[in-house]
Amino acid sequence: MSALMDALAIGAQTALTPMNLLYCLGGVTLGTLIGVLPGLGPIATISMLLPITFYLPPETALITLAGIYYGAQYGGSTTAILVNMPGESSAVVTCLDGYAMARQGRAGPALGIAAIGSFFAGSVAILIVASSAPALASVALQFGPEDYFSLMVLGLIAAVVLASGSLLNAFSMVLVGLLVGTVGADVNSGVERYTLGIPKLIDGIDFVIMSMGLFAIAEIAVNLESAERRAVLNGKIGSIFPTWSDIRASVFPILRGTGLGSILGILPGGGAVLSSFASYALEKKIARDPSRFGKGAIEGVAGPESANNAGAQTSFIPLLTLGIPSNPVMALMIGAMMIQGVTPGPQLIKTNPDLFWGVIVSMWAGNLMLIVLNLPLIGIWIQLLKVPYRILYPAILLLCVIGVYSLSYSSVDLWLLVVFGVFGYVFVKLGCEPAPLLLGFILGPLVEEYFRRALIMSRGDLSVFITSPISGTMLVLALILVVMVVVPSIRQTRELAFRE
Amino acid sequence: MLKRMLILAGAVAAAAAICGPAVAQSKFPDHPVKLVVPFPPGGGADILARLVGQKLNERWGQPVVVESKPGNAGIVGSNEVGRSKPDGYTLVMAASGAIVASNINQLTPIALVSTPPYMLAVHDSMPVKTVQEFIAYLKQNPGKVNFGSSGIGSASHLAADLFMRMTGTEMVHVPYKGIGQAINDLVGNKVSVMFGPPQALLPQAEAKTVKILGITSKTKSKVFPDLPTVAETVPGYEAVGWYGVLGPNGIPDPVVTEISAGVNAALADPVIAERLTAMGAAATPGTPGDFKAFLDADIAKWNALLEKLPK
Repeated sequence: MSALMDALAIGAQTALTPMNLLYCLGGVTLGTLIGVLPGLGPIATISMLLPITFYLPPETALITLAGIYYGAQYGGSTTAILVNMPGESSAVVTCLDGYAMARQGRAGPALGIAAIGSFFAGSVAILIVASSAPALASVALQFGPEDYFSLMVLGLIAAVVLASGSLLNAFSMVLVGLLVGTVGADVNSGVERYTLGIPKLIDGIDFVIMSMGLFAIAEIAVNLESAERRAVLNGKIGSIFPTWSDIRASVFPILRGTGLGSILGILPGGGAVLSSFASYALEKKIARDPSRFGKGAIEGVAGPESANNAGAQTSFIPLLTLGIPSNPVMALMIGAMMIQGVTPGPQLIKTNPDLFWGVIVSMWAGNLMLIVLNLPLIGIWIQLLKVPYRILYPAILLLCVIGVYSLSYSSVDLWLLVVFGVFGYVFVKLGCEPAPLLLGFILGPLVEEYFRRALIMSRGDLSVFITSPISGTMLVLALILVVMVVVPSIRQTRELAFRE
Repeated sequence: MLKRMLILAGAVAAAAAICGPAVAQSKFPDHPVKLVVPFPPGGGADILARLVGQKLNERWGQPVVVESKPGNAGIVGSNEVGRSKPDGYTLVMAASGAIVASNINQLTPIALVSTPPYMLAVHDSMPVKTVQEFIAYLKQNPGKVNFGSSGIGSASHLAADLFMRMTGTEMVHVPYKGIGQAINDLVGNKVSVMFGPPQALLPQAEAKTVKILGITSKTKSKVFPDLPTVAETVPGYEAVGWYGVLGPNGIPDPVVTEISAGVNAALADPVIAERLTAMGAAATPGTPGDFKAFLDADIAKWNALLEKLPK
């Protein structure tokens, strides 16, 4: 324990210098901003800022970039709640109940609980990183492809639970997501699938384009049809902060979300994206009245928001302890370190203790800044709802287009945005929800990749999925979930379980 | 009237643009130069582009803007530069994989930056210490050992494929999306062999999770004088990557000469040498002709191998 205190003291010496605090503040502020702006994400921002970090000491550079990353997780929930537009994969589920709350005039409590949950989860996850990062990293290494496969299958089945409408619709949407996810070059054979001869599609379709089209463009199109819903939003703003009963209802979801997010964040290759979905599915499953979900249940905001922020912090574990990036943002961080001549790897904690511990302490400082920054801002964000749609919507459209174009400066991406916008509109008209589709899109390619990799390694023997203890457990859980979903429908009480 | 004048002005501007390169020869560059990196930011090409770009900026007094245009293993960005105006203001910092048989004819090699070797690494638990023992182990266990790569047709895949062909051994290929996940599974012993870049493997070797058996350059590396080459055991074996600056075809010769001189001068800078060392590589200054000869040979060699891969 005293070793940990010594280490944290080294970190504090680095992180709490006026210059590093200032850069941390700059990072989290910028992160919040890009999180709030639809379409602009941390990847584009960090790549644009890489050349600037060139002139900073390595620890300052990393503190700033890390601040942008977890700052964006805070900000991402704001647009999801206020205008039903997720900027990040983690904010997709926040749309479901967060936006419903906003439409009931409870945007303030939704934003408040998202910030509070994120802060709590962030603080706990940082303690986990500080106390047991190396041990956790070796746990993640035990995960074989068969284990990842089963984890993703569990996630996919949970996706059906996400839907608040018909089971068949949700199932179909997951399948559509899986299909769209196969676009691009196949990892195992290099064969191009559904690329229509467009070179841009060989790398697949970017998540940001899908979510902007399906959520943002579709939302705008639907709202243009009627003036009524706008009156709902403008009429009542309601209280700004969560009430005691809101907080009481959120305590356990926040704790569970923190736990789930901390664990899933450690797994490289798709673990972190699962955390907010998993937390939502869990809350809905154990809730006394699952029908409230999708209609403004505060647990549906508190849990996933905590999970995604916990995951954002623990996803630094593979980077800092093994030098292995768990997502594209972490790969950028490695680039930022290499530019500085620091080689990330298992030895980093020994060779650059001030960098390692400095970044960890700065994360906590950054989380504190974020909550101080975000709570007073809630009042201002809510004022945005009073902006007439004729001004707000063109502004959002413009930002979406800029954000999508900033991904890779390609006009093909903009056409894709239009295509998904049309799909999104049709889905709304058909009463199909896009959230399960997005989860299918994210997980589908991973399921396939891990399945085939597991079979390559086992030389085609399917039994590995059962004989591996981790994989076996996941599959049993998935089976239980399927039974829980199917049984009520056999008894024709499906309506009760899945509709109002 | 105004309209007619505008058309006239446009025609004059167009004419000036056509004559541009000839006029601009005296002073290149007179406005910012764009250096495209056809890979995601943060990788080796990106780092080198920024370092070299900064030196070029100091030399020319004009900004060198590094722009990331990733896609299709570097081919999207390289092709775009190939189609750009051949005035020397749009260049690409390419690397192995970005220039292939299909687009080499669109691009003019200007300056080779470095040819980093790969390393043959095995998981620490494998009972071998040398390349020779490794080959013997593979012969005793044909088809039982897995090797990871950063993707089908990637340098790490082809280096291993060439090794198997030249030694008559057999391993099973496990492709990954990118080097990070492959290293993860090498450290976790899900795959036990990998031909990978030094900057990814050396930190793991220091932590004793993997063993480096040899490097893949033809001759011993100045950076790792203690490491044997694979070629010492497998004569003729060579599999190196490369980084270099190319431009569209048709850039005026004096401009090519100036860019080549600028990049070569940058390579003499100690900071760049230090970063290259961290990648396990050394600077390879030379003429555009040297680069072209290297690239032609490199593409021909790997193309021959790619055609033999099972489809």
